[in-house]
Amino acid sequence: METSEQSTHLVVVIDVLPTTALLLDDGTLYEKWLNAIIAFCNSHLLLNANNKLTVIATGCEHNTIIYPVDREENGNETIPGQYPLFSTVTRVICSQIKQLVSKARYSLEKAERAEDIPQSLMAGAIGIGLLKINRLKSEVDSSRVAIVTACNDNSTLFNSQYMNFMNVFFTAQKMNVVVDACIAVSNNNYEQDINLSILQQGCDLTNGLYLKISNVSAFLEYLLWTLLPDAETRKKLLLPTQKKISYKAACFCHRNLIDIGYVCSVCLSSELITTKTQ
Amino acid sequence: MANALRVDLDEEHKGYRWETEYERSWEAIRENEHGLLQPSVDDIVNKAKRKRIQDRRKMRLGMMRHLYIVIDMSESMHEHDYKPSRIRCCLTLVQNFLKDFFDMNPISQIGIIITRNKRREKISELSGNPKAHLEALKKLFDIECVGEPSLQNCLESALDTLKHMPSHTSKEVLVIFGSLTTCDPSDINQTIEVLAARNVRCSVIGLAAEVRICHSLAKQTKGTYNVALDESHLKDLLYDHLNPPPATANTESSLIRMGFPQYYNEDEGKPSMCVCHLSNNVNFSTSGYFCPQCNSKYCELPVECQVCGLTLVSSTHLSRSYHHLFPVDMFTVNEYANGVICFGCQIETKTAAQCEHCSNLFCIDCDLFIHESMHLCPGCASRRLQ
Repeated sequence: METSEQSTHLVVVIDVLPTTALLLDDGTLYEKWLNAIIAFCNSHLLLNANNKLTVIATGCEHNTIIYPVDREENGNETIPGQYPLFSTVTRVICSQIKQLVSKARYSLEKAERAEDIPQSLMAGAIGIGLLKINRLKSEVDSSRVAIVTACNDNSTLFNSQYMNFMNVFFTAQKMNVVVDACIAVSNNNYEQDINLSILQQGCDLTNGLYLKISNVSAFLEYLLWTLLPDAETRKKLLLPTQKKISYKAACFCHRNLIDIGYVCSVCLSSELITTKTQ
Repeated sequence: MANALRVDLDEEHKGYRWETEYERSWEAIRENEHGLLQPSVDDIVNKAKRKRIQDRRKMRLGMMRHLYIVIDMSESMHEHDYKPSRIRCCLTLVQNFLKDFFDMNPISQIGIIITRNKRREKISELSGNPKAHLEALKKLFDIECVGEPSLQNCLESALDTLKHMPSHTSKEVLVIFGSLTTCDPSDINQTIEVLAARNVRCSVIGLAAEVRICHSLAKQTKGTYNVALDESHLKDLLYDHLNPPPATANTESSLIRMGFPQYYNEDEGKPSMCVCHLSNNVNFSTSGYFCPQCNSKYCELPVECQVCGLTLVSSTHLSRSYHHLFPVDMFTVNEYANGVICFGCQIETKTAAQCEHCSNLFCIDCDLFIHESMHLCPGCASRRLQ
């Protein structure tokens, strides 16, 4: 039996993309979503006094580490009866997200067509998270990355960052860092998207969980039940089963998915030529 | 025998360490302002690492590797200068090396040869399946190290297989040699010439002291020869071979036929047996990878189909090696008297490395991590390309 609790370093990557369906809906949903994330962060710190937390916000212009911050602004007002660390976390995340979202809203208004709206730079954010994990790895027993987003996750999204994503996922896999993703989709466009997305591949590679949630009111419950327990505890829980996915290669000439192809011996796959597309 | 091993000293050989001027190597280490020596040592180590990364760029690499690992299992491997013993230390390191090797070189193949009692034994044939090699290695822990090694026999045996390999592959032999002598049936210099002509790159890691014949073997076949100082140095030397070597000029490039099998989850396919576990503890299930050509089932990838011979890989195996092709550019290191905040881990540092593209500053630890493991500059990835 384990006598002492295992300390964990959790990196939460929050996507503040302007296309966030929740943001465009009514304000209350977004608030619920954000509150759930903050409660999730606090619960993580509550589990063990040695637990570490890093929160990174990823937007379409830049990525920002929003917690921990070095300089504390407007004093330390604490809510009586609340653990001061929690109120700090809550205040810092709220104020930083507020700033970022208002900036993001500005760029949303600038973009005229829906296609112009850029995607968030999530691979970079995970990269920063991994550097942070690498720095703190001697202080904790295990580290995890949790991606929370409300973007409309489909197979074409993030294609331009494919290489970056693959690099960070392979690094995470090598460092034994589990990458989880929790995606909130609004009710109306919740469709059975059978195409696999890049995040799904990342979660599969690192043995993480990939969740798609349509009910934002239950978001916190999902987070607490599935993403909060560490890899050791997860073995004992009955979690949503992860379907193993087959990675098909796409040929470089037509971007068709192929079963059998020819791979260049020097650059590997840069010259995939289709023979039979079955 | 000693006469046979004598090779003409070449001009550029700068002689042995003990023949050169007295080196005051300890003077390079200085105390910092807090009276600590460690930062200075770390600095030297970091500089060496950076240099190694820098040396590796702008080369065409032999990505498809056929590597024979030769392990000396002669009496000299019983020595305890490496803990717990030379052979144990060596076998443990090779085990870890194998795991990482297939991670970094997904479509490469490895074979293992041991030498003892003046002869060689092929422990595992050239294959791309790490499991078979690991099992073979495990058995070596119980084998006793006896007699003298035979370098020539090992090289000949490796050559027998490697000479039939297609010319687009990188043919390599890695010898881990603990003995200071070798007992060979005929002139080893002739074998070395054939190896060089066949483009087989032979590298040697010595465990005891520099041996003349190993040096000339490595030199003539364009390999490397190093003698390990201790366990951690041995590990570093061994792990240097994880990265694909630069391709030799007469390596052809060609297209290799590969299959990308479909995976069926539990309850998706029909129950069947996998081809990889036919002989022992048969795996009867509905899940597995199915060869797109002959539809035989496998539990794991990458594997060469036993029925139709098609190489089966997953596309992630291929994208794993992309970072060799698109490395991150080197950062420039500068001193900042007032201290700067690292873009990645947010610590304050006086020595920072700057990315030329995104101008973000990173501490030295992050810099090394980016170039050695991540192969992605988070600063550039956190910036929109116009």
